Formats: sequence, structure tokens, C-alpha cells
Amino acid sequence: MTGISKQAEKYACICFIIQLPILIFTWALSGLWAPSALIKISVFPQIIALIFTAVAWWRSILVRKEHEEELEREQIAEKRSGEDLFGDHDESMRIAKQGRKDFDKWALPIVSILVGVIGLVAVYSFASKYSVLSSEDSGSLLAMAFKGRSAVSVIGLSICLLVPQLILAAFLNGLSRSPEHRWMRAPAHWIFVSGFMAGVGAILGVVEVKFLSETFSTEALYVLEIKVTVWCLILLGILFCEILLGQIFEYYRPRYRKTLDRPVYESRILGVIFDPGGIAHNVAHALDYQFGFKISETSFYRFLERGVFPFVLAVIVVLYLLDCVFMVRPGERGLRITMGKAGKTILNPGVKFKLPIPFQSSKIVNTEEIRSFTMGVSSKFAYASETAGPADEYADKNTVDKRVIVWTVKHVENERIYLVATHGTSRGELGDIPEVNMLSLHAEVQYQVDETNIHAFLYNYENPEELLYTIAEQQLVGFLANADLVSILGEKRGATETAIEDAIEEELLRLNSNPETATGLTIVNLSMVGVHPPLSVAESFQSVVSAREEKYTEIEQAKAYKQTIEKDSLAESYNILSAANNYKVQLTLEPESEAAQFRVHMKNYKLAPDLFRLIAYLEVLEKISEDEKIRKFAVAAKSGKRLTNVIYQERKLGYSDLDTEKK
Amino acid sequence: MSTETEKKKSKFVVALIAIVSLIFIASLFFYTVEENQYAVVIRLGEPQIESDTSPGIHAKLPYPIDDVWYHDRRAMVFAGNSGELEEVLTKDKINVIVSVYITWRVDPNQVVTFMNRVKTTENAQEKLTDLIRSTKNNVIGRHSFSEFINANQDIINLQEIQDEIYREIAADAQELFGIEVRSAGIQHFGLPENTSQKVFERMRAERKREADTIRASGRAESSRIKAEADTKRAEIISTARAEATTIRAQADKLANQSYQEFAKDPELASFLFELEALEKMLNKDTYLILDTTTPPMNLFSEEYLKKMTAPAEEGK
Repeated sequence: MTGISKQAEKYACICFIIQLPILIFTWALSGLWAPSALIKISVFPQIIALIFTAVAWWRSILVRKEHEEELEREQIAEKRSGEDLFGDHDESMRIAKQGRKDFDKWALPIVSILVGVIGLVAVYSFASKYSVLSSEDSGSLLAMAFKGRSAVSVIGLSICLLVPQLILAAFLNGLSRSPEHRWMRAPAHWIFVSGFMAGVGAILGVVEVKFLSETFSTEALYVLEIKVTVWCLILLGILFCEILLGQIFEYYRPRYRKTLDRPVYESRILGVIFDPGGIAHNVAHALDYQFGFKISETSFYRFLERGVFPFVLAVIVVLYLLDCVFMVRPGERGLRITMGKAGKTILNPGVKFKLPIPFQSSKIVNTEEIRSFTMGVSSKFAYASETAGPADEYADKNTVDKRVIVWTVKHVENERIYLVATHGTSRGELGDIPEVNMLSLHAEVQYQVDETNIHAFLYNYENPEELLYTIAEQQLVGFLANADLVSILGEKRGATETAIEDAIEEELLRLNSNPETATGLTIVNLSMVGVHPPLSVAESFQSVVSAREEKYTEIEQAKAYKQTIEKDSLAESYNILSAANNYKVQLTLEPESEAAQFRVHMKNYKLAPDLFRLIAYLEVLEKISEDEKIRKFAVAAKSGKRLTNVIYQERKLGYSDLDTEKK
Repeated sequence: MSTETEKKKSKFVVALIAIVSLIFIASLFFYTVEENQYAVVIRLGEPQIESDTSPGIHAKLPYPIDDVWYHDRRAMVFAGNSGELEEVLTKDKINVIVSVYITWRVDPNQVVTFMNRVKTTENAQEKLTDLIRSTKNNVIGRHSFSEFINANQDIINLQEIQDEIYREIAADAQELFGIEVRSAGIQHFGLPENTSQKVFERMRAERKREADTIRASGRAESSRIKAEADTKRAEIISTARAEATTIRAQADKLANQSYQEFAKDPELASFLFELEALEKMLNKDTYLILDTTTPPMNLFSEEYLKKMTAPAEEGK
């Protein structure tokens, strides 16, 4: 009986010893080498399994001691057979039994509650962390979390964890069918859970290798993995809740003498799946039937004796060989490096093979990504971020407002100010002040790694991107040194953009033409985002524009005046001319006709001068007589003496302005 | 059966030990040089000048005899540890703030010199900082401000100045430290705060002047246009007047010809004109008093009545 009791201890101990390195191995590698969320959280069930194994181990020791005590007691009882004197005394002497009872009464609930509570807290914190990652706009966080990950190594690690855990769990599950190993069932359950997570991790890894870039983007895959992880965490949460609830159920459980006590923390949910007769058991049977792969007590023991060392070795070898496979993703190019020496061939996207470390290694560069930096503001390179040049007096007073961009309001942090040549200012006029203008200019330079020249990118410069930035700034300073401020701001803005891009590109091409100095970078585009005079003079520049507007207004007004005046004077000239023409017409036509008439009159006159004269005279009188307005007085006397009287009478009638006119 | 497993086990252990010791021995006798590295074998403290520095695997003697020194072979961009932005005086005593950068690497032909005199990147940067600063001061002090920034292509000399800086740094760096300087350039050229303020003021004044000039030119242009308009007006009207005068003269001339007709009988003409004038003169306020001496009223005169037996008639 003693032997069997010791066997329980032994299995618990072995199980513990196997689990511990697996746990450490998982913990260490899931972070460093193959960042996989699932493998990372499979540490949880492993820790629980380890704790439960330890509890089982401890309890089996107590049970053994209890048995030994019982035996001892029986032997003593045999010796003293017939003497019932100390019969009542015996119960208090059973120290081991009491110890076991105390353990069941106190240690188990405490361990269960601690595991439940701490587990829930841990699951909650992880779940909230991963939930943030799975939201759609956390691409950069995701990329960071999975940076440098290789799907192949994730698969390798998952399988290395899956296989031993499944074997161990199956073995413990089978073992727990005998009453004395009953307590190993709980650890078996949790090892199964851990194995399950590793399995899911492996499946996701396979999906990544198989379907990447065809069906999913890298990011979509990561989001999928995070979502699966969150579901696994929820499952763990349910199991931890069950452990806590188990404490309550324990009080209401009917107790019969013959039923075998289960540990309070044993999961009934997992029991449904993994217990003998459960789903997993049937799967194990199916495997057994198909492959004759019997996982039993004895076979496992033999396996342990012969197989553990080779197995561990095999795992190491597999992991080592996994280093032979690496992936070049779409948009990337790679190099194979043999004993430090970089290979000549550039590797295109796909799964590639190499010798394991230390013989060969690989370097991968993203050649599709459009990289960029902005000139004219503090840069991403630390050395240039100091405020280069004079601080702008307006800069501190205004906060940055990016919605409305006007020259007079600060819209970019840490603007650099460039010196620009001046035109037409003589030295004498300036005195001490240098002959320069100042200008703020921001341009975004976009560039790529040349996919045909990643050697140069990797090995010619410590930081080729920093070099490009420096060259760009140098060329900009050089360009502006003899440019004209006003034309940059005005009509030559577009030409300036092209000229700066050309200057940088030319310098880059000069470097790239020599394999020793090549940078492996190519400029994609340069766009001048903003160009304006420094804030404190911007207003003056705007006043020039308004002056120009004023000028045009004034000119327009003058033009309007001109047009009116021209039209008016033309009209006047027409009037003058028409008067003259009228005069001419009068003078030419009338005298002519008069002359013609005169010729006729003269003819008549010559025939009878007195008669003609009389006729003409009488004609006039007749004509006058027809006019009623002319007052006519006929005086039938020789002298005009009575005339005065007549006029007097007329005056009385009201004709005050009467003229004495008489013919 | 147990002896067989024992044998197997011992074989395995031997193999394992063999592998481990092989790796250890290999690490003693070989060294690898990465693509981005230089390596120099130091045999008993004596650098082996002819040692192979190309990337790949190379043989050496075990540690206490041979040691290997490595350094990055890639070029680095460097602008100085301190005084990256430094106020410097030009030849014509204008303070400017200049930042000079260089790209440098260990000279492939002088790796040993570099190793002996500099050894690390940090040391190199320290030494290069001094070199950059002194060269910058020297070279910039030799040139006047207008050579740095100028609209005139003939005066500006920026490229030449950068070349000068490069030449001086490169020569010293190579000779003294075994460093190959590949390029040098001015990546920032600015003015100190107070000078900048003056420049701003000048720019403002210049802009104001520009604005004033523009306004004045606007006024001038406007006046010109107006004056032009006035001139045009005068011209148009004068032309019209002149033309009118010509027309009138022509008319008068033509009229003259007609008047010559009248001269043929001045007596009749004057009678006719008198008659015409008389007709015009008589208007509504005229009282016309006709006595019997004036025809046709003479018909009422006594002499005429005497002459005629028939009664006379009076016309209105």
C-alpha cells in the first residue's frame, strides 16, 4: 500500500519537473523570438497547471503519511490486541490524518480563491490591453507588438509546445482514472488548455504563411490573431470564475461516505471535454485505434525513461533548423549573409532557405515603403532638432493653429529660417546689416530604398537616411543662397520646387554613380508644402500686395477717366464739326441759290427797273400784311400830324413799348 | 540490453562533447568579419597590417596570441558633438551661425593607423569635432559674407568654400587619424538673433519702400493716363476746331463766288438786300404806319384821286 502511495508522489514530481522547463521556455521565447499573443497567454494555464501539480504533490505526501500512520496504528493495535484501554486515546494521536484534514480544509480553498482572483485580474488586464490592439486604428501599435516576427518560427514554437503538452496531458488524464492519481486530473485539464492555445497559434501561423498577401494583409492577420486571443482570454476568465464559484458549490454538495473527493478547484466544464469518456478521451481512443499510439501509464513511463532527453534534443534541433527558413514579405527585399559576407543576389519576396546560425543569416529591407522627412522644420534626426538659427519673435507668442494657414500666424513648430540673397540693395545703404533676406520654407521629401541596390543601403552608410536629409538641407541652403526671395514667393514658386528637387537629386545621383559612395536611396518626390517670409515680416509682405492692389485700383480709375474723356471730347468734336459743316452747307448752298435768283431778278430788272422795284416792294408789303401780329396803320393824309394821337390811343390800350416807326 | 543503452548513451555524450569542443576550438582559430566591419588581427599586441579585413571567415591563432579588433566600415554623417551650430566671424566681420557636416569612415588603407590612434567611433567624433570647428573658423574667416549669400552668380562662392572646408578637414583627418572624409558641406547658414532682428527691420523697411514705390507708381501711372486723356481731348477738340475753321473758310470761299454775282448790279443787289432786311426787321411789335406818300397807299393820295375818276379802294 505504501508503494502505491509513493507512486502518486513520484508522478506528481515528474510532472512538475517536466512542466517547469516548458513554462520557462514558453515565457522566454514567446517574447524574444516569436512574438505570438496566443503563445504568450498560454503561459496562464501552464502556471495554473504547475500550481495544481504542486498541490497534488503536497497532498499525496500528506496522504502517504496518513497511510503510514494508519499502518503503524494497525501494527500497534495488533500488538495490543485485547487491550481496549487506550482505544479512545488513539484518535488524538493521528497527527498526519489531522494534517491532511487541515490541508483540505484550509490550504485548498485558499489556493483556489487566490488562483481564481489573481487569474481573473491578470486575464482582465491582458484582455483590455489586447482589446486596444484589436481596434482598427492601432496599426502602429500592432506592428510594434509583432515587430520582427517570423510566422515560420511561430509555427515551430507552437508545435514544440503543443506536442509535449498534449502527450503529458493525455497521460495524466489516463493516470487520473485510478483513485490515488485522481488529483492529477486538474493539472491535466489545464495542460490541455495550454496545448489548445499553442495549437490555435500554430494554425494562425500556417494561415499567415499560406494566405499572406493573397487573402489578408499582414495587419488583418494580426487583428485576427488578437481577436482569437481575446476570445481565449474570455474562456480563461470563465474558468477562473468557475473556480471561485466552486467554493460556494462545495458547501451545498451532498456528502456520501463512499464518494471520492475531487479537488475543489477542479473544473467541471473542462471535465465535460477532457474526462475519461469525454470528448478528448474519445479522440485519444480514435488515435489509438488508428495508429496504435497508446498513451498509457506504462508507455508514458517508458517514454519518459528513454525519450525525454532525445525529445528535448529533437525540440532544440527543430528550433535550430527552423532558423533555416525565413520569409521575405511582399514589398521587401532580402540578402543572405554567409559568415558575415553579404551575398550578391537580392532575394525577392517568398519563403527562403539558408544555413542556420552561425553559418548564414539574413537581412531584410522594406523597399516599397515611401519614407519621408520634412525640410525646414526640426527633423526626426536628433542632431538637427535644436532650433537652428534665430528664434522668430512671433513664434513664442502664437500657439500653433493648423486649420487656417496664413503667413502671419505660426502654423509649424520649430521653423528653420533660411538666408536668401537680396537684389538691388547696395552695400553702403545697409551699413552693418548683411545683404540678405530671410525665408521659411518647408518641403517634404519622399524617397524609397532602391530595390536593386540594398547592398549600398545596408553597408555604405551607418544611416543613409540621415545622409539624405543632410544633403537635402545642404542643397537647399545652397540653392537659396543665390535665389531671389520675391520670385520664390511669387511667380517662380513651381520652378523653385523643381530646382530644389533637381539639386538634391543631382547630388544623390552623383553619390549613387559610385558604388563606394552609393546610398541605395532614390527620391520619389519633393513637394514644397509651405514657403513664406518669417512671421515678423510677413505683414510687410502682405502690405506690398495690398499696395499693388491699390496701384491697380488707381490705374483702373484713371483708365475709366481716360475712356470717358475720350468719348466726351469726340462728341464735342463732332458738334464742332457739324456746326462748321452746317455753316458750310449754308454758305455754299444758299448764296448759290441766291445768286441764281439774283440772275433772274437782274434780267427782270433790266427790262423795267422801276416796275421791278415796285413789284418787289409790294410783295414784301403783302407778305407783311399777312402777318397779323404786325400792327398796321394807314394814314390817308399827306402829313403825319395825326399820328401822335393815334399812338397815344394805342398806349392807352396797353402797348407801352410802342415805337414810332414809320415807313 | 542495459549495456547496449549504456553504450549508446556514452556514445551520445561523447558526440555531444565533441561537438561543443569543436565549436569552441573553431571560435579560437577563426574569426568572422561582417559586411559592415573592418577587423585587424593583433598578434601579441602587434597589429598585423597584412591581416585580411574583407568580410567573411578568416583564420587566426587562439586568443592570448591573436586578438581581433573590429570597427564599423560604413560611412557616418557627423556634424560635431559640441558647437554644431557655431557663431563664426566672416572676413568682413559679420557674425554668422554655421553648421558644417562631414561624412567620414575609417580609411581602408589606414585601418591600423586608425586603430592605433583613435580606436573607437566616440574618440573619432571627439577628434573630428575639434577639426571641424577649427577648419570652419579658419575657412569662413577667409571669406566675406557676400561670397556665401549673393544673387550675383559671379560673386557667390559657396561651393568653393565648401570644397575648401572639405580639403582641409580631409587632409588633416587622413594624416592624423586614418580617417577618410568623403564630403563636407554647410547644412545650415544663419544669422545670430540681434542681426536677424536688424535684417527683419530692413526687410520690413524694404517692403515698405516697395509698397510705397508701388503706390507711387500707381499714382504716377494714373496721372499719366489722365494727362494722356486730357491731351487726347485737347487734340481731338483742336483738330475738330481746325477742321471746322477750314470748312468755314471753304464755305466762305464758296459763298464769295456767289457774291460776285451780286456785284454785277450793285444797285439791284443793295435794293434786294434792303428789302430782305426790311422783311426780317418787321415783327410783331412793329407798328407800321403807312401814309399816302408810300405805295400802295399813294392810291389814297389826293393827286392820285384827282387823276382817277373811279373811287379808290383801301386794302388792309
